[in-house]
Amino acid sequence: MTHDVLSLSVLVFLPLVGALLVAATPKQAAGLQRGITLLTTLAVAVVGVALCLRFDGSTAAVQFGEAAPWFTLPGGVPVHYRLGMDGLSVLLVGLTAVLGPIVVLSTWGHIHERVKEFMVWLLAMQTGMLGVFVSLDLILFYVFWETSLVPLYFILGIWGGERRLYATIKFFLYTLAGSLVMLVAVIWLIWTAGTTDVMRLLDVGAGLPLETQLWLFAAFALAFAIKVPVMPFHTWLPDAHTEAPTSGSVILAGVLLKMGTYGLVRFGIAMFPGAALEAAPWMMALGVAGIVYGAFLAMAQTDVKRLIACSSVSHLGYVVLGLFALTEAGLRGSLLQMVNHGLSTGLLFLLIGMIYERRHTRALDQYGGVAAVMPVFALFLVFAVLSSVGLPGLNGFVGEYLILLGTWQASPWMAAIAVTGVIFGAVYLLMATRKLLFGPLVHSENKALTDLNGREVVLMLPIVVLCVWMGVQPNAFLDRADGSLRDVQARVERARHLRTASIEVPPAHRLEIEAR
Amino acid sequence: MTLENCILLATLLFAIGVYGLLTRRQAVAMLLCVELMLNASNLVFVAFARHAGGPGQILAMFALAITVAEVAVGLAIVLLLYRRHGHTAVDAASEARE
Amino acid sequence: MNPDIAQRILSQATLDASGPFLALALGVLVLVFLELLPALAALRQIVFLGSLAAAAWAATRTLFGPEIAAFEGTYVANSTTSWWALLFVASALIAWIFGRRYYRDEARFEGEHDILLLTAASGMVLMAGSRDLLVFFVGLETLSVPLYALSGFRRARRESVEAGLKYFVLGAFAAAIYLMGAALLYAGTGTIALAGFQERSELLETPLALTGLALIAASLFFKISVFPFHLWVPDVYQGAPSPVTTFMATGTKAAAFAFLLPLSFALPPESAGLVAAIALITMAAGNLGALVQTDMKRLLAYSGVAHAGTMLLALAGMHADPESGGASQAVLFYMAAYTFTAGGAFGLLTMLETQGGRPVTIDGLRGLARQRPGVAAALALFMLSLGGIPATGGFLGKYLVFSVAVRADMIAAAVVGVLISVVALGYYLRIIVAMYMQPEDATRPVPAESRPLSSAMALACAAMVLVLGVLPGWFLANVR
Repeated sequence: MTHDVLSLSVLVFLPLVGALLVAATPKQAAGLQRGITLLTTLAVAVVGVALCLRFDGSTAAVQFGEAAPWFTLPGGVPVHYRLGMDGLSVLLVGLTAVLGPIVVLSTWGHIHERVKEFMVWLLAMQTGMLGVFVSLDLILFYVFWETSLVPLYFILGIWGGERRLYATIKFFLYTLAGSLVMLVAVIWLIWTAGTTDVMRLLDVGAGLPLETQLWLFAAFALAFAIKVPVMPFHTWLPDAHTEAPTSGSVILAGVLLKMGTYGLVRFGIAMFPGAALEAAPWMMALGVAGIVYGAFLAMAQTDVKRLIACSSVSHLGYVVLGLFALTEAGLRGSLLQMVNHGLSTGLLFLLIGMIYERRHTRALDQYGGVAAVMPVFALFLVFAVLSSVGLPGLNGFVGEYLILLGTWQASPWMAAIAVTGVIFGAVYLLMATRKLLFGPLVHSENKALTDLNGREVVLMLPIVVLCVWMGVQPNAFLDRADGSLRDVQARVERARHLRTASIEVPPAHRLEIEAR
Repeated sequence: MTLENCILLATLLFAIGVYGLLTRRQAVAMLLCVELMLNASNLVFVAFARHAGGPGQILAMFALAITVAEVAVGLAIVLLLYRRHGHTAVDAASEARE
Repeated sequence: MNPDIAQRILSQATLDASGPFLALALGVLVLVFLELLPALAALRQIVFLGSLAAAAWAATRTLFGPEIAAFEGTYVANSTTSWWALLFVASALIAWIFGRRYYRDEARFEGEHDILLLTAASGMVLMAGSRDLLVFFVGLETLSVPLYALSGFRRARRESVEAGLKYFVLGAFAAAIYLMGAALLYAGTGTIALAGFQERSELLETPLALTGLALIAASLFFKISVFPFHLWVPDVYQGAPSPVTTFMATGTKAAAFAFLLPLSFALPPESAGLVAAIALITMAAGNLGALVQTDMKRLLAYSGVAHAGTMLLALAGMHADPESGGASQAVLFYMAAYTFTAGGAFGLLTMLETQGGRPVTIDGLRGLARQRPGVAAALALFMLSLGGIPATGGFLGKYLVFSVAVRADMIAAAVVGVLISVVALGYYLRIIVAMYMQPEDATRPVPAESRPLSSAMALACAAMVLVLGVLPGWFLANVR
């Protein structure tokens, strides 16, 4: 193991150390607790960004790899503490690291009770999320994957809204059910392959017979689809978002849902490419269904937060669609869109949180004409909405364009339906913005609203900068992922070739499996 | 008495014990039923030891001694319940009753 | 006595093999002697703890060595039985420490309480090491009889005495079934030694022997509370004094499994499907039963039923598992994690019950996180471990058990099993919700006394749960 300060271990466990520090502070010292948390997340952001900058995107090789033996499973299968970063995780690690301090700053406004506990859970959460993205050992991944549920469970359950208990338990049980089915697949895979090394499992998985792949893919994809959430499994998300505190929503939308899409790429497509090819039309159909259905749901909402939650379902539909188009453009677009969604939806949730802190309602009809009293807020909100609907020049456009392009190559009519989602998306978000910001100031309570303060502006600035930067220079980001994306693409092509040539399994992998 | 008859008798005793245990609610009656079951197995032990040799008789002796200790403790509990709380009824499962 | 036999029996190997049992039995005798001399009452605790420590030490001596057979092969000591013995010692220690100052009206009988507890522990050790139906029966009764008395130990309380009587009647019923099973097996095969069964395995196929095996399995299922023999569990666990419940939930179950595992080779391979079905039904019955409970002890009792079902799944996969010893390791690890988790949870309930002077309900736990953050955090950890969330021992136990099922090609059973275990989280989360997310219960009395010993024990249990979950390497390498 390296002893470099800029290592993934430091990145992953720094928040946990911060959490322990916060836990050691006296109960009433809220200022101290916030300070420690902010400093910790800033340090994590620095380490995370530095690692992303050092990352070489031209290759699919694992970088900053670390491995140490952990324990041995029955059958002599060694389990390692194995971390590493590749093109699939680099952008998401960066996103998680950057969102950290922003979320902490946003809590100044809405977390006033039990600050200490909140900060502990927030930091623990970050360790869990970063761990999911950089674990390259299947057991370690699973451990992070499931433990990251616990902090969010507490954040939602303690600091959430009125119906928080219902939303919390629903969220927990939904995602857990998916994870546990995945656990059975994990057990089977590890037993069959005799290793827990994700990079080796990628080869083993691709070499399995198609029917086996399909079963495993189904089990893995179910867990990830619930997390994303893909259409029929989405019902937990609006409830969770509506009840969560602002910071919880930002983490949920910004990072947690990306764990699902990340899993779909790495453990769905890359590990079982044959099955992914078979399942692609179905998954694309679910993606499109999510896009359209999410948009309609959003249109019917009167609660702003619920509206954005439903728009998330729609936006993540694009990601799923682009992934399972299984084309280069689709994959690139999806990876970019994961980050885009994290930024722009995160920004939207932050803004809604800020106005909620002032007005204590989220009902759209309680607003109107807010732009007149809160011009800075209006400016940011318009920016966030434009970024979210995919205005050219901002980040959302590039991602959606690439996804639609990639989908067109795979299935033109799916792309055609998906385009309607773009239009609907623009309609409901712009309509909501109009109702909120413009028109006459009918409610007298709104006249006294104060505009954003310095803290609120500062915490949003990094997101704004990133949105513009990604819109103007998407390749600066995509280049880092290219090596790995090409690798995923090559795996898919190999499987496609095998399918057409109807050769079952490449001999090398087969021997490896039969030897056991 | 032949081996078959012994087994038949033991099975009968055992069955009566089980039946009684499932239908009775009085602790003492249930205790008697348990005794029937225990002695049925002792009968099997002894009969087979006679028939085929082996440690059957020793087993029966052990079983007798141990179950006497068991019943002694059981009777003490029954007596305690009766003296302090005035009844000796046993409900096998309150969940099923409710 | 014939010197030849004496020499054969009283060898060094015999002493080594039966060391843990001898230590506990000696402790019992000394304690009984001390009861006669009230002046020496102060020594009781030292003798009790010393006896447990000696048993643990004796067990570690055979922990890594080869198997030692004693008493003509009717009793063995090997790595597995030594681990079981350590587990029983831990279980007794947990129950004993949480039981300090629990009894108020019965405080003057505390000496008897300790004797009974130690006797039961020695019975467990005997059960785990026995390789003979008679020796096992002796162990079973050495465990059960003290537990009947302990269940009814709070004599002034009606529910305690009723629990004792109920446990006794059903325990005696199980013992009678066991004895009949042993008799039929003896009738069918002419032997009562496990090794004998292995030699004459063709005789196990006879109807007489099969009936005997089924009866023995049924009586063991009683002890580990498997459906449909689980109905006594909630009532007895609720009525018995809490420290005794702690001991029953962890130790008794472990002891029955410790014998079921070496015995299970005798079960015909075709029975695997049946056992798996029973396991799944038990899990479902336990989890669904727990879902509607409000009393914490009752809830944990049902949860214990569900856990017994989970472990039974490993037993079902044992025959077809290509990894020999995998099932045994899985059950042992699972049981170890369960002992510390459930032991800690029951222990904390004991503590709250003692301080509050009334049984603990879910509603009674409201807002505990604010009043007593340490207790709430530990209880939350135990709940997550019982629910099998990673980074706890409960997760790895679950992983190992389901691995056995997967290796044995019982994928469908494994999937159904994990889905049933989602239900369990439903009620474990309710407890965390009450402690952390609901307003305080204003009527909860503020504890009058601090209980450093119990707190330390709870902390030790929590630490063990985490160690088994995060750093299991050493255990996995050495538990076979």
